[in-house]
Amino acid sequence: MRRRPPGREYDICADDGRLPHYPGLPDRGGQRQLSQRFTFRNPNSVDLTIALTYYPGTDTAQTSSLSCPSILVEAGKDRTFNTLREMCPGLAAGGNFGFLYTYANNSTNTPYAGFSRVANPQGNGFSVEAFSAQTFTSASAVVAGVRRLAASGGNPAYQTNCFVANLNDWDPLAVPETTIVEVTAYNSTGTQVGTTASFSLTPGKLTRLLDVFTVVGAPAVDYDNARIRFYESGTGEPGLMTFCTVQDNTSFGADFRIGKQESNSDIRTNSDRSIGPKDDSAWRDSTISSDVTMNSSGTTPVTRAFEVGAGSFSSNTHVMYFRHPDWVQCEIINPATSVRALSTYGLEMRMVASDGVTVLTGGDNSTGFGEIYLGDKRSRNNGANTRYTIEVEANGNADADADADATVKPYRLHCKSGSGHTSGDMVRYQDASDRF
Amino acid sequence: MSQPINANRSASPRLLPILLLLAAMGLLAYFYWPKAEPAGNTLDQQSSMSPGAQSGAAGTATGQAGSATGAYTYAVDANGNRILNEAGLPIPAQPLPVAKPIPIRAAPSEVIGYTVDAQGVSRPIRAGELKAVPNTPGSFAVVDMWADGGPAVVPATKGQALSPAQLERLRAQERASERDGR
Repeated sequence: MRRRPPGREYDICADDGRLPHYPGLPDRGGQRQLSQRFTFRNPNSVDLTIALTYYPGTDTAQTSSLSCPSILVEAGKDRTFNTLREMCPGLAAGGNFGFLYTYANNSTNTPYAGFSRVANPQGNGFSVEAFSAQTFTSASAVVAGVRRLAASGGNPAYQTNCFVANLNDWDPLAVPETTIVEVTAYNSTGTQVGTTASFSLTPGKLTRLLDVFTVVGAPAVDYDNARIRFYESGTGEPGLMTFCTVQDNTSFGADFRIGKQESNSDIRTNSDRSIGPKDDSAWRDSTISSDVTMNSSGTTPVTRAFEVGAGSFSSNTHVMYFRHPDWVQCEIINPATSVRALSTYGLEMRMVASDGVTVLTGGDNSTGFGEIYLGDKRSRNNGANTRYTIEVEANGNADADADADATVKPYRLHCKSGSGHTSGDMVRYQDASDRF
Repeated sequence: MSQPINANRSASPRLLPILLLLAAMGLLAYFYWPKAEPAGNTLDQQSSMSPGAQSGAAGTATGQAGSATGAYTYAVDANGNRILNEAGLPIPAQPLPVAKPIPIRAAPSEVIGYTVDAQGVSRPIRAGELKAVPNTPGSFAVVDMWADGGPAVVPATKGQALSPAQLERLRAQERASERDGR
């Protein structure tokens, strides 16, 4: 197996332009093109070596990926490059855009940060933060608030270009897996304009959709506050990088809008509309009915259903990481009805803070709670996101309803959060106790 | 040693008429002093007091950030009126300056944009037809800011349009692949 270099990888869209004097055009100091400045920040106490590979957009001057010389960022220092060519001297002459894949090539983990600024010679431009490679998933993504406007009165013409990239594979397949990306445009009222268009992408490829409204065949009218949706269909479930730039065609200023990952189909939750990226550590809406246990060799995970044992003394404890400040809510779902369990089902739940003592919500005969506020940043765990526990147990109604406590009671744990939560794996399973 | 608190201010009542006289002279000088004529250059970059003070209009410009002298810099037309707002964009209702020709990179007769007439009817713009874009009112020319040599008018990217049946088939495959992957 190929060893993966330690450190974190970042992807940033990049460009570089030669700076020629173009005859017949206004003299702007001999520079009309966009260029991009890159800054890398090393917060570690050791020097950082960053390996770079540039992946060009299709139909640009650079026709294939380009490995660039590694760069050294001294401990605790920043390092800035004024152009992509300064980092990648072998870059083909001409206009280029694409994405830059970087990783720390150190023997120990050395996280770092990156930032870039695109600007024309007048200083108009936009900033692009570096993103960790894990950010990008195959969830559907949306860029909102885009426009295409004809010039009128004193207003310049606006144009929206979008970009779709398929994250390169570190360990590529013999035959690269092709992904199909569907692109759909909606006007400000949410009505689709034009038709859905599609593009094929293999890993490491970036395609620019120049004037995305024309791409989808939208009628030649103005669009303001419109929306572009990217949907991945295929078998690879790759990391898709989607973003748009809105430019004005008078001053040639532009901005940068990353595609917000807003939905992914997920079989485990039986939902076609799970909000957010594909990330089991950042669910926004999860309905989960099992976790896994490892056998003694630790090689064969075994699915373990969420069940409370028969009798009045059986309790499960789920550990759940939330990110405060946030509003969260959870409930027990009766698998037989697929809705919140009634008290007569025989279960109850509560949520406990990270100290393991403070009960935040829930309790006797509670099978769910509405949104609760976890607290301001300063008010919990020194401002750090932390774990919570959700305890589910028999509600001890055996005397009132003997049947309810006489059987094993399966359940699903349904939670919602605004900023993401984990899957609720169990740290205590069918513990013979009545905790509340 | 005690002394009256206002002992050193006893001359103030005598100075008051002099100060009032100086203020009146200042006001007279302000209103009767000849005003500078605005420059005739269409896109001149000027430094002056304020648009209102210069053109007589009721301008309310604010000081330029970082300006040590408090002077203002802005683009004006032949009448001395501002043509760009604080964001550097043309002030609405002011006509845009005619754009310089932008080179067109496209095959002959290739559609590079659309134009809309007064009735809202659009027609394609073909390579060679455009002489001044992209800020021609009513046009949807596509500009490649990243073009080698500077911004150029080019054809839009062409996507493969999907029929509803194709869409349904693709999404069914997607659902099946995710189910297999879990």
